[in-house]
Amino acid sequence: MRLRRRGQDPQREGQAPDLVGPVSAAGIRAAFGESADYMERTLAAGGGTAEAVLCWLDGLVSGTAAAETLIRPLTDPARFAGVRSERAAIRRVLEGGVYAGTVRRRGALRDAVYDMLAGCCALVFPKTGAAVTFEMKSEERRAVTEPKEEKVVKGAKDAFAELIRTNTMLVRRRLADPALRLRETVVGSSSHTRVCVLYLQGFTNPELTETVCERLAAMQVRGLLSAAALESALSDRPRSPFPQLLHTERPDKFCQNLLEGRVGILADGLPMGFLAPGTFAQFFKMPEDRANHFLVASVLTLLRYAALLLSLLLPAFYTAVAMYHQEMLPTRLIQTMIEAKQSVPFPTAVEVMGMLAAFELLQEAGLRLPSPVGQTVSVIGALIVGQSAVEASVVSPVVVIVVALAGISGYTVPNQDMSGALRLCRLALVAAAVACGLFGIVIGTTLLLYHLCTLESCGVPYMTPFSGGKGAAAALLQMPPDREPEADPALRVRRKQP
Amino acid sequence: MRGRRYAAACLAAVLLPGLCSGCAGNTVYTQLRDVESLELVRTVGVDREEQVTVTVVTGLSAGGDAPITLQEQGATLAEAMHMLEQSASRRRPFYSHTEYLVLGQSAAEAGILGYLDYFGRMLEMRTDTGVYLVRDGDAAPVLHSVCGGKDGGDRILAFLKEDLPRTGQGYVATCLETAVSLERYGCALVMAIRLRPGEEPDAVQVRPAGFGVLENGRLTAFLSDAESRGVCVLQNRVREMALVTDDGQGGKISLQLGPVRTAIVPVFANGALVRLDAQIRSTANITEMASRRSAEDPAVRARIASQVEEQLTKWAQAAVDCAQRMGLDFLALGGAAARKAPVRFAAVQAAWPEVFPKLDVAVTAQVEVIRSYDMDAPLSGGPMRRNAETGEA
Repeated sequence: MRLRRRGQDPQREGQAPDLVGPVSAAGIRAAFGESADYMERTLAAGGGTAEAVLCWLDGLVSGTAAAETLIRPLTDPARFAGVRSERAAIRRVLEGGVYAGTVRRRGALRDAVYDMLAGCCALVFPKTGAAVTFEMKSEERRAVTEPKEEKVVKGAKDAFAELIRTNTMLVRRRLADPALRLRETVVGSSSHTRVCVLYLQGFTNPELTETVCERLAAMQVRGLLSAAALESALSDRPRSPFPQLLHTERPDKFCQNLLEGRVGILADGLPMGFLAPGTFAQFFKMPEDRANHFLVASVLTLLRYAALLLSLLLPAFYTAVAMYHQEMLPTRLIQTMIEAKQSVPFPTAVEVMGMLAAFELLQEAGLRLPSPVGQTVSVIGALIVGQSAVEASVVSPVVVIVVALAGISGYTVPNQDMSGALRLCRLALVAAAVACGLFGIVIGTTLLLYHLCTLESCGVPYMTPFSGGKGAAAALLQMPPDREPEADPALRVRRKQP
Repeated sequence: MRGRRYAAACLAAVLLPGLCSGCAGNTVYTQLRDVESLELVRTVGVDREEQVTVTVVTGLSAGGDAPITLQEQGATLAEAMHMLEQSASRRRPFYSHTEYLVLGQSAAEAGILGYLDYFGRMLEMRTDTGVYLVRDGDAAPVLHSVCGGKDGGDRILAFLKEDLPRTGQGYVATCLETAVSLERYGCALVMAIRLRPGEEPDAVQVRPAGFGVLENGRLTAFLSDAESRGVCVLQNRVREMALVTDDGQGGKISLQLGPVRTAIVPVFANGALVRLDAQIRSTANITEMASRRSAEDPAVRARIASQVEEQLTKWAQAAVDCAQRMGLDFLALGGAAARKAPVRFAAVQAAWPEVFPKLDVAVTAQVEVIRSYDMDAPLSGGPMRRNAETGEA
């Protein structure tokens, strides 16, 4: 075997690899330059009737599998009996001379290189200027594991993984419907990430599907390596802190949304599925809602909305009342507040803002650290530091209760992106309350509602169904199974006219 | 287009706090005060001799500290209040949680319209603040001895306020009710209280002392106990009341009256108002019988009902007579009649102050006697009665 790691490296000289022209071993070599994982081997196919160069990227392709399924049959003279030319050898290979599921004949260098990047071996025949690529992907992958973020008691326990085919398999297993369509495209000029758009033909609104596909096609990024890049490209208003694309790591939730008429997006390398459009109400639904009795699920959904209001408004309301509107509180409560604040050296605004900042710090510390350490930090932060701060009269117990209640309420929001956006808004509303009391809260809330009402996700108003139309009850409550609408009525796309 | 909308929204966000937060200089920013800098005033007392004396008492703190009493004098109420704010060394007096306004008799006799007007315009003061009038005394002693005590005077006055509708002795009108009544009828009733020595040395008690009648803002008279009870009966202010009657054979029967409801019905003849019917209805529950007679006896029940009806009628008639004698419709009978027959009453509306003193007001009462849980027979300690049909105990 002759391994070559020589040749000109265009990138070293500041040039992008030139992939124009017919396929050749030298061209492939030049394309990958001195990449350490580029491998090639010259073979005398069919007992010397045709010389060929086998190229692959180590790691993407399993070397052992390549030896067993490609090199061994290629070098077996019995398989190539009667083959006198390279063209005949290529024909024999394409007709099943080697054991490979997917075999493609490639004439262009670009096609061969991208096949290799997708996990194929390329067998280059120098005289004819053609190559045959064989799918020979490595089996190195992370197994399907339990969801980390969206845990449920009554529900499936598998989660999406990084490989796109694993994820499409998980979807196919649940939706054994030939109407399930997968439209694949490649995104990223450098990453060439495969992105798959999933929908139910004949059920999903075709305008919605086209919108998603158009936006994917219009993506101009070098690499699609994070969810943010995809969300930014598919969002109508990427600068809004509110998520406009639903993401889930649960295949069952993904499939349920496909059944409701949404379009699913899976990207290679991202262990989650995206769903468009993402409406406000959808971020407060849990997959477990359907597993519970509809009355229980309805109460829990309403509780989430109540927690949303509490999380968003409680610190701001406390600040406004403590600074401006003391007459609004019951006398006993305000007496308790005054008593608690007597020895606190900071004004209410500093106290509340400081506690909110401390809460965010604790949360970040808990998230970034390994799980057991994170829990310890949270316990130390919440119990010991909090209690000590109260005992040392640095903060009043009422503020600790208010901030903790708002924080805990925020955790009931099922979606972390939405939770993050609400945390931002909470801080802004506190600032508005500090500036203008309840007037500030009213103005802040009005601006927030205005912003939410102007948002759209793939042409669907973000506040649907609350902004009009039917289905508000279904969004707030869990309908009995026999009364559930077949498709989400919110998904009647209202496309903007150019 | 979108940029313009955002620019408009941002401009509105900047301007709205200034525009929405108040007018005439009372912006939200002038209301900025941190909660710990406030001293919650629970009771305000006003007296007037040569100068106006304002006494304020805070409530018990959440930690159980005794209330703080502050007192200042001034030529006017505003000056006294201003001096009070300046004299408060620790924290600023905050009046939004003021529960009661206590007026001394001298201040009430001098006229309370100015005080009500001042408190009504005071942004912090609430209009549902209850008004008490100290009979034969000043407000300051009440606030010092009762409200400033370790038990917290606002609680004692609150208990009294709660108890009054249950005993039928009166009710506590709010600042708003008093002001509206003075504005609409030219008169108002204010609950009077009186200080009495308590059982322990240096202890004092607060007792209801009938209504004080304000005419054009000045205290002109006090109503007797019977007249005050009549006012409560006629104004549907009695939630419950205890009464004792006799059985005609020397025994006593205790009763608990239920809510007393009075309907004022104007009677017209040829378009002219000839009479007002005050129809009182209530129920009397026998709570205890110190009598040899049975509660099942219809004659006993009839006697009880008759006695209660007579008593209610007497009280109501006393209140009506007093009002007609004074020529003041503090019972708001004109308002009740106008609500009952608005079109026909409109003809006498303008002449009502002249019509009312001479108007025939017929008071009738109807009382149903009942017994709790249908236990007609009192507990005798003897064997239980058996059901006549089944024979079961």
